[in-house]
Amino acid sequence: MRIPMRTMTAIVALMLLAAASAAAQSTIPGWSEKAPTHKQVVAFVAPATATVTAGKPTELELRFSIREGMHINAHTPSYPELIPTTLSADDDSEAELTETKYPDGTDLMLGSNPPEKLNVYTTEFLLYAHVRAKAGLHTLKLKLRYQACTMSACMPPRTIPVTIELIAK
Amino acid sequence: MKQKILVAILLLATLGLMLWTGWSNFVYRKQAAEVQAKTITVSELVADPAGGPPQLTSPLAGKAAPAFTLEDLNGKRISLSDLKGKVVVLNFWATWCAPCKIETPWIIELRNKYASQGLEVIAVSMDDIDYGDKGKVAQEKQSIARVAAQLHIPYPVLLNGDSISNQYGGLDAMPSTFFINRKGVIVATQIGLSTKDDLEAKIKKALAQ
Repeated sequence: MRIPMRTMTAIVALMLLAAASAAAQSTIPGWSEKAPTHKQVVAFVAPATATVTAGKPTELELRFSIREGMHINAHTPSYPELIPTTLSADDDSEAELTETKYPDGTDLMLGSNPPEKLNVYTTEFLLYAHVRAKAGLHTLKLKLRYQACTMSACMPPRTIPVTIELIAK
Repeated sequence: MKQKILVAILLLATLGLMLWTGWSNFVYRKQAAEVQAKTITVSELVADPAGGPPQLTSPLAGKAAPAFTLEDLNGKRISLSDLKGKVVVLNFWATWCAPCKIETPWIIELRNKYASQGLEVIAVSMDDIDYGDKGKVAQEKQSIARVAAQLHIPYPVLLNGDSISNQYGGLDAMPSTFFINRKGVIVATQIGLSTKDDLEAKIKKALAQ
């Protein structure tokens, strides 16, 4: 059976698209090209820029990645001593953070007899930040505090910067 | 003819992209694995002489335990040298560390089992204490004391472990436990949660030397 040239071209183009898509997914967005240090468990992925309504709180969807094999406490951890994931504004931020909506975590069972049930974020999570800025261009400077663990060890709490260039109009 | 050349170019480009993707994935995963293995930058994987899985060990193994003096929850200053001649299990933990909560009952049980042979356990809290704010200090100490009470810890809980973390190799993962023999030498270490049997084997090793 002879495949028409146009069909062949379409098949090859689709293969090319699939390969390009796989290539795009081969690295976690937000990580630097070099392997991050062990201290870099969470990466801010997007957005780098956003447009908001001047003078009114606007909701921004912030995407974060978590290193494979690790988890961080959700905003409402399972018990009070655990350090919650929190987003806050830097003192020198040019725009205001008025509210943050946190997602529910997922349950993670640690150990047995009896198991510790933990409320955590894994892989990727979204925060909804309500921000307010006067008309113009501003740098929104936020910070995310988290405390990460593997199934067998916990790292001390860390804070990473979350910087977004805002266009308020 | 032109179309055939175009298809051939596209096919080659696709294959090239697939190969590059595979290679990038391999490099990324290799880097990630290296980073994971270096979760404790100062530790390395070494083969278990008994044939078990490789374990993370601290380079402090085989060296004299660094000296320290820290305050306990009651304000009493305790030095490692106070326990000269004893076998000491030095357990760095934190209230925010869930694996520590799993491990602590095993340590208590083993401490009770081997206390008559000269075993002492010292817990060192890695919780942050803001010594610049007196009000906060009391609150933070209370929080550590509350968790220690919940876990029924019968041995001293020292504060401000961060001040000696560099001496003990950085301590970037909790729990981290050092097994010190009667001569003050670290004979074994445990970074991260292990098993009760493994902890007991390390205690026995320290008691035997």
